[in-house]
Amino acid sequence: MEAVQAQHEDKRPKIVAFLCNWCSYAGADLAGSGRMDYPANLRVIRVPCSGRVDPLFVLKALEQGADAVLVSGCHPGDCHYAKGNYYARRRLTALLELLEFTGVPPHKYRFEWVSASEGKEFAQVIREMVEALNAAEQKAAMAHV
Amino acid sequence: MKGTPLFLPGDRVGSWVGALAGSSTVFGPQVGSSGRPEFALVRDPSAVDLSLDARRASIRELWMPQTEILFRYRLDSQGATLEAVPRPEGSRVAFGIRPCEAAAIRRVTHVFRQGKHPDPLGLEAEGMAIVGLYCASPRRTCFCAQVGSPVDMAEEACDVLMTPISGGHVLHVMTDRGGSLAGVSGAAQATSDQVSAAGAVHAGLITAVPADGAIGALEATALEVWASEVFADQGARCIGCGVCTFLCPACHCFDILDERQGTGGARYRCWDSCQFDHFTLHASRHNPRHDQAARLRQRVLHKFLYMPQEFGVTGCTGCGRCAELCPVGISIRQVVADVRAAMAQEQGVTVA
Amino acid sequence: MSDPDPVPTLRAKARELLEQGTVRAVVGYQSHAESGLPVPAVITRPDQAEALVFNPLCAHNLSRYVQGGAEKPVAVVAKACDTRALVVMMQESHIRREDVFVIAMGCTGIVDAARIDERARAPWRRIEAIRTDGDAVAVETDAGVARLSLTEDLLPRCVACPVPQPVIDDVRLGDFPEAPPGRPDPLAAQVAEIEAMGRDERRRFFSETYNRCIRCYACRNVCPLCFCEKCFADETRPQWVPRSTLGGGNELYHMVRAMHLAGRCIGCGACERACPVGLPLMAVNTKMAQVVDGMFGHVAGVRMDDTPPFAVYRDADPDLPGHGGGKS
Repeated sequence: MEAVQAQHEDKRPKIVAFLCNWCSYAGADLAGSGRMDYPANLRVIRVPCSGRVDPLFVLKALEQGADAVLVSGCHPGDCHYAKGNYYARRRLTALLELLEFTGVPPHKYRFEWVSASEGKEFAQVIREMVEALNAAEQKAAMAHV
Repeated sequence: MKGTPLFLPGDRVGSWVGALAGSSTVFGPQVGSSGRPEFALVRDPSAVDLSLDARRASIRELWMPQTEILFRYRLDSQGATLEAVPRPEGSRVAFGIRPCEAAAIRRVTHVFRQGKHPDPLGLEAEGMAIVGLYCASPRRTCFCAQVGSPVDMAEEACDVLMTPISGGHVLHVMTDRGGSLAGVSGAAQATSDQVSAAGAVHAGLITAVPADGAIGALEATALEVWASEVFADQGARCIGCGVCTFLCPACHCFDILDERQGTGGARYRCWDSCQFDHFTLHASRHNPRHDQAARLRQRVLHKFLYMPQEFGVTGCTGCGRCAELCPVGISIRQVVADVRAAMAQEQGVTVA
Repeated sequence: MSDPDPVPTLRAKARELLEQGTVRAVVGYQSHAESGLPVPAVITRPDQAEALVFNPLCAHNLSRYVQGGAEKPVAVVAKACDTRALVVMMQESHIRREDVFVIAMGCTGIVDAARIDERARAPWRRIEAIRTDGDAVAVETDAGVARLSLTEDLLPRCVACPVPQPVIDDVRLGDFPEAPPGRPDPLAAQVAEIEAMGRDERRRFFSETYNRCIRCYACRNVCPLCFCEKCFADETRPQWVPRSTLGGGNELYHMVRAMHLAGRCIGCGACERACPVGLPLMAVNTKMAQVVDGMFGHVAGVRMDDTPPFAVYRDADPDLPGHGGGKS
């Protein structure tokens, strides 16, 4: 158990993922049960709806040392609560602008719509995020040589 | 002015700072990264510029960093492991701070010397050598000469006082420690003309601060001034921010907190302010200082009633930062003056 | 109708409101006892009305004093721009229209008090009088007269004054410009300047800015729209924002505050003026106002019947990158 914990602690880069219970969480589950291969850098925080995700959560996760943050919910029109993701969309698109304006590197955040049937797409999102993080790390390491 | 007067030509300041920085950690006025004057650790002695007006920059950082880690810890299956964080070692010199600021720093040490167990924090302020710089003219909200005398404050607190005169500075060496600081300056004996020029600068500052606004410690009991309407009147516009206390060279309140990240963390000390609403908030949600009037009263009485009662000195030396930087123009000098006037009226006498 | 000096009318109105018990307090400006600069004043007795002033140095947004537990109904002296903050508070049900009696004051721009130091011949301690004189303000100090231009010395937010007419008012005193002055906006120029930097440079700019923050919370406390009973920055369970100034706490505070003010900030600039260490706090606020206007067509506090932009949505809202707009 401790060994597993230590492994988790050391797994870098670390991505904190806020996943909607009704779609993206199930999408991640489908990727797993379908034995699709994607990096195990994810720490999932299940939320009832992407509308629950306060921009504070994203910024707090980054402040606490997450290498990247993923927020993922149902496609617009598919919200379990009819409109939660529409509110989320306004907040997240505005937050994207703030992160871009303040120069936060784009590999540190990603906001996506992933449905319960999109296991393949979910795995692809994670692969892309980890690739971008690894590329950024390599670039930073080169800069120090 | 007490002490042996020396004269240091203006072009020798840089080499003096360099000599001091060779053996001590030196803080001095420099242009900060933002382009504003600030007091900061001297890395390049030539960056120290005594002509900068850094009188609105924070001075508290010199002896009490806003956040200071006391120790770190790690948690694992064996329990907690503590890791000490070494305290800064060696001698430290505050170079080019003003008499009011110097006096404020020294007065704070009274608080930390109270009781059986002196707090090492206060002793850090005590251990810091001060090379003061006398002001040629006051800023708009300065009131050192209304709450005391900048000359007395310099004598109270500085190890060496520099007074700007034509061509350089007159150095008054006030302590043995000051003697060794001035010893590496290369300053020569000052001429009597130079000494009298410095004397004129000393008197000039005092006359430049209006004499009619003089205030001092409140000669009253807390009960007598507690209900003064002045606090409610002025407190009505107070927004409860920490500008006055965080910029005050004599404010010293702090909080101690633990912060954890994953399986490790740190205990640290950080500035706190009696002007914040949660400063006195109880766990029960009761707040004994329930409005800004009460918080303003605390700030004023701490400096002008409790500190004089406890230590015989005011906790304010008139640097004027709070009044100049307050977003809504609350002046502690005015509040004290109004309280004194109200007391005098009640007692049927007029204050001079 | 031209009213060359609205101050006597203002005092009479304030006195009347207090005498008749229409309001329990009047928030206005009075001259500081020492400096003579205008400062906020909360008055509750009719005789105090004589101390009220209004002049082109009245920078404070007094709608701050209508927040929360303030006694109501309350009258507030407001410039046209300040009324926007009251409108946002009403849209968000923080206050009710009937809680506030708005005394709208005509204004052609507020001058930057810091310029007095530059324009006075010698260091000054006290302002004896403030007179408007054509396109200038003559500030008579104990060290001579400092003339401040009503075009050159304006506060950044006044240069392109977008809302010269009050959005709400119960009485209007003085002259109100019909239209914005049509000058380029220095706040928008600042945003453009930052946007022109590379991303790394922007990161450095904001990191350095927030590193200098001393967390006095003057920006928050002076803001008319930071009216939460308990700010996230003061929460301890969980401790959202570390009190430590060594790590990312400063930046977390400022970034979240920028989000909280997105679509709400009326651009009064009170935060930036209050900052004791001179942080350029309006850059993110101006940027977010542009974003919300551009994406959702919402400008804060300019129409009473608007809904807060993050409390509504449209199918056709801009979508996340890589996704089409509208319903899928």
